[in-house]
Amino acid sequence: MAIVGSERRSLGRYLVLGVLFFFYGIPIVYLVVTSLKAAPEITVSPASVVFSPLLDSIRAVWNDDLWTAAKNSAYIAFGTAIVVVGLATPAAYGAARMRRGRILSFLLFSLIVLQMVPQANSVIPLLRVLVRLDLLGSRLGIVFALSALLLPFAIIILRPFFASLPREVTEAARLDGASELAIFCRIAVPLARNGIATIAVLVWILGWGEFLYSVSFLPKTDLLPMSALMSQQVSSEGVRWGPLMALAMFTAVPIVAVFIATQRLLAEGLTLGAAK
Amino acid sequence: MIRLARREPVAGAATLPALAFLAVFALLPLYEMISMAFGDVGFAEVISGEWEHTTRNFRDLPDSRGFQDALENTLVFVALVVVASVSLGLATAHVIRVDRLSRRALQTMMVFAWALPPIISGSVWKFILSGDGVANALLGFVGVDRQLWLADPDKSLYAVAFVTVWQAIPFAALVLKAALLDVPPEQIEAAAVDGATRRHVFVHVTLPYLRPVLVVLAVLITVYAFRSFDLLFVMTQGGPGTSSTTLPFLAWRRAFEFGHFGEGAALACVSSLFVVVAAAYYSRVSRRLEEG
Repeated sequence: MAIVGSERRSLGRYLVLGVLFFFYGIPIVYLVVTSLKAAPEITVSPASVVFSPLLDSIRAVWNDDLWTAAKNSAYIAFGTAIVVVGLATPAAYGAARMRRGRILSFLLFSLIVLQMVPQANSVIPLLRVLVRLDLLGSRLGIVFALSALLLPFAIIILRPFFASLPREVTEAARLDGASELAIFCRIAVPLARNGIATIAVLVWILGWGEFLYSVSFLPKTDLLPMSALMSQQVSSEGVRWGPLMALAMFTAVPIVAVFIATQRLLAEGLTLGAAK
Repeated sequence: MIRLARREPVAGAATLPALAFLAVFALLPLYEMISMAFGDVGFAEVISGEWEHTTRNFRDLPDSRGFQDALENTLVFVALVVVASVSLGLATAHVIRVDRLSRRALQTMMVFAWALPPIISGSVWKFILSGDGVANALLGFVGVDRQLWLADPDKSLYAVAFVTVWQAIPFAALVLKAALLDVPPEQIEAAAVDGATRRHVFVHVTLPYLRPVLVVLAVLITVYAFRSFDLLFVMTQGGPGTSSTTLPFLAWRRAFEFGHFGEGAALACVSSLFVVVAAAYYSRVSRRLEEG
């Protein structure tokens, strides 16, 4: 019971706990509080949490633009999740079944490199690629660009889930006359269900908050997602804090919903990249 | 018969759709990046696809002030974020590894902070750290003068690094928590029976166990910090001036803010070299970790 032994009431431990609660709680508090404050109060007494709540900021952003942006964000989030899961699942299965050797090593190394390329760099040549494919200025272009960014990561994460599938099982199925497709759909995919769900949720969240490709590739029209709408609250004349926080809150709502529904999956998914 | 069964007939084939997709949207861009880096490319040339070839983009880099500043900013930013995230992540892991209601609540908040898109957390922190923001108001109560955390060129990079660490700690803490729980309790007990102090146990028993995980984590956070864009864009836009512009961010700025796509592509090539080195090191240490 070493853990209990080391769990002596030490001052340091509670200090760390308190500091962490403070720093992780404060942004959530002020996100909500600021979106409910009157404009002058936001800058005169930014820290006060006692005030009479107003819906001015929320009303200011509650319009057609919000719904259009939400629809665009949903398009990007669902589109990317479908493309990434659809391509990564068979690819991870294939990579897990491949014989160990130079080809597999090279494949995995290439995926690691691609996974690490900064989005701020790939965005430059992608502009040219999207022009060539006539996808510039379309939401589908964003879906493909983001999918390419996340696909290597998804394959790397999913591969170990399929590697745990015993070879005897697939061989027995094959001897029973099962087709390769049946083995993949009926045996392999159900085994990797948790991994697939985790990837789907992670990709969905990243797609919902996508920013860089959208501000770089989309015209300033009704195709912009929530993230770009938020950045429009910042101008050379200053920041409209109330509407910005209200928009941030609306953008966070689906994330909170997904978060509550899949919290355990997420906490596990968080460590997947480093664990294996 | 057995030989037939051993061969996995479709193994490689299942990867083909993904590889075809990556060829178009990941490899073709790499090719275009190199070709643009050796060209005089503005927005018009990106559209037409025809440009004059030149090596000027690379020749001008070493003497460019923007490049030197960005290089320095990148080193400071990445080093700061890695050291702070890993060490504070370890401290956090120590606290949350005990299964209690308070620790579970904290862990939930932290996973939420990690799941929040940086555009949201960046906006909130921008408000907290702004001149008329929460941080100055709270610090005012204890007599600290008003600071321009984001608008002061001496502070902006550190302010963004702080928020980047804030986002990275949950990841580091959860990875290290899992590693801490893997340390065999008998070893710790044995050391304690031998009269070792808690510090001694940590340095000589726990730390050696954690080392491979710490190395992998450090590499992953290095890459994470290096790639940072959304937070920088939302909080400072790389400014004031170039005070918080890192290398990948500079590449984006030169291309999309100033229309110098050739120069941006050249900077992107330089950043990519860094990525290849990091990836080579990562695949070496992570393979060692997997093999135990």
